[in-house]
Amino acid sequence: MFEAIGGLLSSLWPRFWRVNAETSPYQAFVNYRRLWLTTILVLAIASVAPLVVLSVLHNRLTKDAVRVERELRTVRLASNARRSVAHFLEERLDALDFTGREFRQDWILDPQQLASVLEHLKLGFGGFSDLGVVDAGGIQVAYSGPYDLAGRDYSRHEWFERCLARGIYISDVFEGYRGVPHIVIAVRSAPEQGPVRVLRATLDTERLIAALETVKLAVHDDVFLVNRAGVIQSSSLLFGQVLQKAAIEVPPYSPRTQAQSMLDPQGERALLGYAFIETKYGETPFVLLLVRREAEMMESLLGVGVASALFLALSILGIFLIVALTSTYMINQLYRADRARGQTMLGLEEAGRLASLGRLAAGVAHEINNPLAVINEEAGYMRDVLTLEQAGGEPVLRAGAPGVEFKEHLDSILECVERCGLITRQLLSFARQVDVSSEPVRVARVAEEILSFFRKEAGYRNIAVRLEAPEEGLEIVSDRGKLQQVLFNLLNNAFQAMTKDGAVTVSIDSTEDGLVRIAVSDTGCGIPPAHLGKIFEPFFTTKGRGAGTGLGLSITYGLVRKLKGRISVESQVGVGTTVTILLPTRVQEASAHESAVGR
Amino acid sequence: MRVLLVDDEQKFVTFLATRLRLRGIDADCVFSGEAAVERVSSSGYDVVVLDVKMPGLGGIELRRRLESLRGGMKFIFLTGHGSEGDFQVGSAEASFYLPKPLKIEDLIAVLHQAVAGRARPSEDGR
Repeated sequence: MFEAIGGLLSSLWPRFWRVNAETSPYQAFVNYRRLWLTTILVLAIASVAPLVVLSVLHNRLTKDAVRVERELRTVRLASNARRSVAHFLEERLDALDFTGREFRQDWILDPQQLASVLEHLKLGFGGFSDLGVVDAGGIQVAYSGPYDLAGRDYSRHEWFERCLARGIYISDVFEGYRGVPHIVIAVRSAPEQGPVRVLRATLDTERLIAALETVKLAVHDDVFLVNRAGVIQSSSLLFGQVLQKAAIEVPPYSPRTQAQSMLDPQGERALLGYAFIETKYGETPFVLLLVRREAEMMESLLGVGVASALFLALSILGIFLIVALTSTYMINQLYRADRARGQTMLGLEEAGRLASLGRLAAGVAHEINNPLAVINEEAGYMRDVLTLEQAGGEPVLRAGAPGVEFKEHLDSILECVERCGLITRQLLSFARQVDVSSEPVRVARVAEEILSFFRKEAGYRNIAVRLEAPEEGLEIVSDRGKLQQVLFNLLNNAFQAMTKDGAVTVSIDSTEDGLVRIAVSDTGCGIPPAHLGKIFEPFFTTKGRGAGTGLGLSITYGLVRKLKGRISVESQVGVGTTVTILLPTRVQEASAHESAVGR
Repeated sequence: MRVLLVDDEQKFVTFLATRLRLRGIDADCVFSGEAAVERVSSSGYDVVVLDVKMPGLGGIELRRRLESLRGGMKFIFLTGHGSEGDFQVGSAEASFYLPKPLKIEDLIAVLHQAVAGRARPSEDGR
């Protein structure tokens, strides 16, 4: 159980992180770190982007819907408030009108009767504080109320003239003698109902304000009346005192309830609902204003927004986590596979070296057997001569010169032994796997050594072998064994590309940027362009089953990389192939320094 | 019996020829395939002993040329290689096949076999 979890965790841990493709002992073709980051980025963006887009869209749609809903609701509230106010006024105007019609006889002028009517109005409707009857001449002929206003002359008052002209009058709010806000309403009796009189009443605004208060939904909702000049008529939370000029412009006249956005005096975004109040008797001086703060209306939405933002954030976090873990897992697997392949390659390199050696040994055997055959015949001949002479036969040799002739044969034998020795020495120098990884190496000499293995073969197949090394003493500090194997593999390939008649050229020179260039060219069959990209891949072969492992160039590639060199191939089918390797004149001192140098 | 030895290893063929002559076999030697063609076109031989690998005209090709030039000759192949592949080629192409360095007694035995028109080595219990 714990092992399983441990295994899972270790496969989710980016173990490839510290791998440097350059310094890894295995051939790493991939920059795992970059691959990892790219994978995570691409996957994360691909999965998060639609989520974010959807969320943003949804958020915007919701906000729009809420805004519309809010406007509608504000309009509805303002409309309700307007109806309350209009109803309040109409109710009282109705009452005055009714009183005017019912009591058109003169008895209403009796102060006691009038006081009784006022009492009934107070009881029936409320809000009335006094009542007066003004005749056509503007004189208040009867009055009931807290003040002594009987006999006042209103003939020059504007309200009186307007009431006579229009039939009703509704005043702005004013502070009465007691400092309580009041409204005056007046109704003129119709001429056909007898003498023209005007019934005038004062209303206190408490009930009106109470009616407005019921509209409020939130603490900061502000609902109040202004007159058309913008003077506040009922108490406002935000826009000033009653009878002061309101801190808001009266919106342009509209017969219907409207809503618009605004900033309240405290700088908060708010919605303004407004309505010009009209009654069935005609317009009034009042404009109803309803101010609602957006923040308060959005509170519920804000909760939803926070929740969805939280959800989005958690989702993104989750996606990132899953993507990161999945990517890590996958890249780990890739890294593991690559490393396993690298280890295999290391083994194969050794196998390849042995295979080269085997091929070499087969070729060399021939070259050793020839001098051995010569030795055999020379020695055999001398024995023949001696055997015949001992047998007493005719002397075979020229008279008196056995020593001289035998010396020639012995010289010849020694020369053949020398030939064999040279060949075995060359073979040994190739086979020797010294631990010293870098030593001064004369490139041309190594090339000549390796070429010598091929010269006989070249002779048999009429292949011209050339070594072009203008700089005789060109020396690099490198791994001789690896260089030998690289050259042997390349020459082996070159010879395999040709059957008979052709040329192999090894040219060695130094480049301007201080590298040593070794080019092996043949006039063989060439490599098709389609194969050029794959020739360094392990197990790529065009030879039939069993004819080749497909490892030669792959191993060569690995060796050249270990020599800190580069390898490239140019080829034309039917014309030939040139493999070029570029080697530094000095392999960086030991691998311990490599990571520090950061190559 | 007339024997022609062909090998690019000059000392080898020279002394082999001498030793064969010491043993009473009429042996000539040449050092290349081309020289062999020339020699055969002027005089006849019973057996040609030739190296498989030679610069220029190789053993296998040479045999074809010589056979077309003069029929009825026997061929004995020599090789310094002794590898599996060469042995297969040699066995397919020739009745007789000997690795270098060789024992002269073996060669003489094979020469006699060849001249006697005896069967292939495979039928000879090899």
